[in-house]
Amino acid sequence: MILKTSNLVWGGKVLVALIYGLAMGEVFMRIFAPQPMLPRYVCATEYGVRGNTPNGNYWHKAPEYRINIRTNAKGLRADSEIPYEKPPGIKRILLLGDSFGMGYGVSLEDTFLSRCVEALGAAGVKCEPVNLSVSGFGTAEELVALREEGFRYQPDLVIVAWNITDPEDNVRSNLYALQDGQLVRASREYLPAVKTRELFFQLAASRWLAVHSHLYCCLREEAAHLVKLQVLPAMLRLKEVRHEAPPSDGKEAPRDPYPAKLSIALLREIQEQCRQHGAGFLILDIPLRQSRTEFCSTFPFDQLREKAEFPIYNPMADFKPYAGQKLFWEKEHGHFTPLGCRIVGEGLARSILEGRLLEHKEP
Amino acid sequence: MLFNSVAFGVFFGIVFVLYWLFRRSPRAQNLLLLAASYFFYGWWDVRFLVLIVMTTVVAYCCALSIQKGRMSLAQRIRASIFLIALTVLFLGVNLRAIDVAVPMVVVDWSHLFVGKAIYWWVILGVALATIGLNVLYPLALRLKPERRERLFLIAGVVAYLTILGFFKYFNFFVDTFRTLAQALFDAAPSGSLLRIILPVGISFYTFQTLSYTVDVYRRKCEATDSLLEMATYVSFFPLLLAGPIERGSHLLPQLQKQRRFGLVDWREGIWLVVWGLYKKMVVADNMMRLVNAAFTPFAAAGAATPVPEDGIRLLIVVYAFALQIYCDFSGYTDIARGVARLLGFDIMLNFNLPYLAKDPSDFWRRWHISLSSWLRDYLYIPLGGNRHGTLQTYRNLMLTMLLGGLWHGAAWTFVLWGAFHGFILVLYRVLAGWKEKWAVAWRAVGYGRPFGASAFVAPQPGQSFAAVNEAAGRQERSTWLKPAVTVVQILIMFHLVCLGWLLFRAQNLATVSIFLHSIILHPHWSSGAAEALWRLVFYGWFFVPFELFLAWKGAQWSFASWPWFARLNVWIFVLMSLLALAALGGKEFIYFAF
Repeated sequence: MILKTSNLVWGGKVLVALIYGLAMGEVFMRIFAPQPMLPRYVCATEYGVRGNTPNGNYWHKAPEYRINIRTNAKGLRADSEIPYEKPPGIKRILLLGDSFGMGYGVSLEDTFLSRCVEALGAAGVKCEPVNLSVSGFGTAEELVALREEGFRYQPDLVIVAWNITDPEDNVRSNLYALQDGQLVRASREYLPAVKTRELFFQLAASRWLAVHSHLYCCLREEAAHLVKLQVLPAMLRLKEVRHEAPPSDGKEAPRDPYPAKLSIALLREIQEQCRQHGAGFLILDIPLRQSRTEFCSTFPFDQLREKAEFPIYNPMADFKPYAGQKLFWEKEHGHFTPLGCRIVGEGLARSILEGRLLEHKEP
Repeated sequence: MLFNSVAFGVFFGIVFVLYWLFRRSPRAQNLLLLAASYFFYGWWDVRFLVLIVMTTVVAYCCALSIQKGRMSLAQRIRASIFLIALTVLFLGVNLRAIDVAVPMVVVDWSHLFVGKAIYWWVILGVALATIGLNVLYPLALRLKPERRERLFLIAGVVAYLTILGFFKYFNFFVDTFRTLAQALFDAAPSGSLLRIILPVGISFYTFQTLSYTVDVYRRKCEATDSLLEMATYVSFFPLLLAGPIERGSHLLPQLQKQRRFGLVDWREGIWLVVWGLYKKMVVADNMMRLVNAAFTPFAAAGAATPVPEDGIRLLIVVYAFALQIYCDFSGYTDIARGVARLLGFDIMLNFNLPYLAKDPSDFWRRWHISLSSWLRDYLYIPLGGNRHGTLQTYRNLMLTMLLGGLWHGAAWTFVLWGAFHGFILVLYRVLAGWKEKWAVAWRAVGYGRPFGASAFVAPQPGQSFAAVNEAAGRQERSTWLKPAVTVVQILIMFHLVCLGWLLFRAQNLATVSIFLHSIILHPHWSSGAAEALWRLVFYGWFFVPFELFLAWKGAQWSFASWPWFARLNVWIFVLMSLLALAALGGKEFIYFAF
C-alpha cells in the first residue's frame, strides 16, 4: 500500500511537472522567443510533389504582421479560379518558387508577382499571374510542377524564383540526379512529411496549436530543421558512393559541387522546356539579407561562368536607394515586406520589358 | 565529432547502451571505450589516429621500463603489433572502400589500400623503427637503474615533444623564419612550403601522456601493465579533444575497477551535459556572432585603419568575448564531465568561477585548472619555482606563462598573451612585497596600521607574510570593508583578464591598438553599443546571476540538492533556451584549435 501511494505521488509529480513544464515553456517562448506562426497547408498532388491545399483560407501571424492566405480550387494563391485556357489578348506569367514566390509575409495584392503584373499593365502589357509556388519547393519540384501542371496554363513567360535553399533541396528531394553529367529522373515522388501533416491537421487541437502555440511552432520548426540536416548529408553520401569511384592514382578526389551542378542542370532543363513550349524564361535571384543595408546574391554559379547562359534579375541594385528601410521581415524567416515586393515586382517588370521576354516565340 | 551535434548524440546513445550491457566486465567496457574513442576521433580524420597510437605505445613502454625495470617479451610483442597493425589500418587502408551504410558490409577490394606512396613510407618507417627499438631494447637494460629510468623518461619526453613540436609548431617556426629572412635580408626562401595540418586535441593528449610518464618516474603513479588500459586512458573520448588534462593517478585506477552507475550519477551527468550545452550553444555561440562582427573588419588592420568612435561598443565586445570563451570552454568541460559521469567516471573540475578571482594566482587556480596545475607541476616547479630567490621566481613565472601561451596556439599573439599573464603575475608579487614592507615600516615608526593593510605580526620561521596577513586580516578587518575591497580586487582582476583576452582574440597587434585607443580615448555611446549591450544582457542575464548565486551559496556542484520545484524551473528555462535561443549550426569549440 505504501509502495502504491509513493508511486502515485511520484506519478502525480511527473504529470504536474509535465503540464507545468509545457505551460511555462509556452510562457518562455512568448517572452523570450516569440515564433512566427506560418502553418503550411500542403497536400500530395497526382504528379508526386506537394501542392497547396485547394480552397485554403488561413492566417499567418508573426511579430511584425498578420496576413490572410487564400488559395483557389487548384491550390494557386489567387482569389479567383484560373482556367487552363488562356484568354485572348492576355499574356500569362507563371511563377515557380517557394514561400518567397508564394508571397509569405504579404497579402495577395502585395506579392511581387502581383506587383510585376501591375507594373506591366501600367506599361500597356495586359498580363495574368499564375502563381504555382509552394512553400518548401526546390528547383526539382518546380520542374515537375511545370511539366505536369504549369504548361497547361499556356504561359508566355516562366519565372523561377531562385532561393539559397534550392541546391540542397534539389539533392534532398532526389527527384532528379546526375548520371555521367546527364539529368535523369531518380524517383517519382517526393512528399516530405505530407502524410504526417495531413494526419496532424485532421485533429482540431493540432490545427489550433499550429496558429496559437509558440512552443508548438518552435518544436515543429526544430524537428523539420533537424530532419533536413540529417537527410542532406545522407543523400550526398549516397551520390558520392554511387557515382564517384576513387581515382586509381590514389590522389584524393576534389569535393564535387554536386548540389550546384544538379541545380544548373535543372535550370537548363526548365529553360529547354520553356523553349519547347514557346515560353520565355527568367530567373529571379532572391538576395540574402545580411543587414538592412547589405545583401548578397544567392545565385552561386557566376564562378562557373554560367550566369551569361540564363536571363537573371537580381534586385540588389534596386534595393540600394532603399538601404536602411525594412525590405525583409526581421522577426520571421526573412521573407519580403510589401516594400521589398514592390521593388522586386517593378524590377521584374522592367527586366521583362527590356528583355522582350513576353514576345511570342515559336516552339 | 562535436559534442553539440546530432551525430554525437546518436554515437553516445549507442555507446552508452552497449557500455552498460557489458557492466560485469571492465575489460570489455574498456575495449568498447577504446573502439568508440578511435571512432570518435577518426570521424574528424582517421589518419591522425596514428599519432595517438604512437603516443600510447611510447607512454606504455617508457612507463613500464621506468617502473618495472623491463618489459617482458610478450608485452613488447603486443605493443609492436598494436602499433604496426593500427598504423596500417589508419594509414594504409582506404576506409571509404568499406561501405557500412548498406545492410550488408560491402568492401571495394580494388580500392581497399591507399595508393599514396607517402603513407606507405610512413608505415615502413614505423615498422623499421619498431623492429630497431626492439633490437636495441636489451642494450638499454644493461644500464644502471637510475640511468635507465632517466633514459626512458628522456626518450618519452623527447618523443612526445617531437610529435607536438612538428605537428603544432612547424608552420609557426617556418613562417617566423621566412618573415625574419624577409625583414633582415629582404628575401624570403623560395620554393613551396610544406603545410602541416594541426591534429585536433594533440596538445591535450600529449600533455596527458607526458604527465603520466613523469609521474611514473616520480613514483606518484603506478605504471599499468595493460596496453588496453593505457590506450583507453590516452584516447578516452570525453577528454580527447579539449581535456581536461587528466592525471594518470586519477583516471587509470578508475579504468581498472568495476564501474557503478547510480541515480545520482545519472542526474548529475545529465545536468552537466545539458548545462554545458546551454553555455556553449546559447551563450557562447550567440556571443560569438557579436564578437566576430566586431573583430572581422580589423582582420587586415594596419596603421592607417580608422579608429571607431564608439569605444563603449568595443568594450562591450571585449566583455562578450570574455563570456564567450568562458562559456565555450567550460561548457565543453561540463559536457565532457557529464558524459564521463554517465559512463561511471569522475573527471576533475576544470573551472571554478574564474572571473571572481582576486589576483592572477587566484585566476589560474580557477581557470583551466588542469592546464595551470600541469604547468605548475611539470614546468614551474622543475624550473625552481619560488625556491631560488625573487628574480629566479619572476623568471620562472614568465617562462611558465610564455610557454603556457605558446601551448594555446602557434602564433605571436598567444605568446604575447602568455607574456602578459606572466607580467601581471610578477607585478602582483612585486606589489604584494612592497605592501608588506610598507606595513612593516609603518608599524615600526609607531603610526599603527595603515588603512586597508593588515596588522603587523612578525612571521614565524617558514611562515609567509601573506599567511600572517591573511590570519590577521581575518580577525581585524571590519565587516564592511572586506567585501568592498574584495569587489574592487575582483573588478580590477576581471579587467586585466579582459585585456589579456583582447590579445588572445585579436588577429594582429594593430587590432589591439585600435581597440585600446577607441576604448580609452573615444568612450562614446552609439546605437551599435546599445545593440551589443542588449545582446550581452539578453543571453547573459540568466547565466551570470546563476553562476554568482552558486558562488554565493558555495555549492557549485550540488544542483541536485535544490528543491525539486526550483530545479524544475531551471530545467524548463535551460531546455527552452536550447530549443529556441541556441545559435543555428554546430559551432566548433574554441579550444579545439589548441
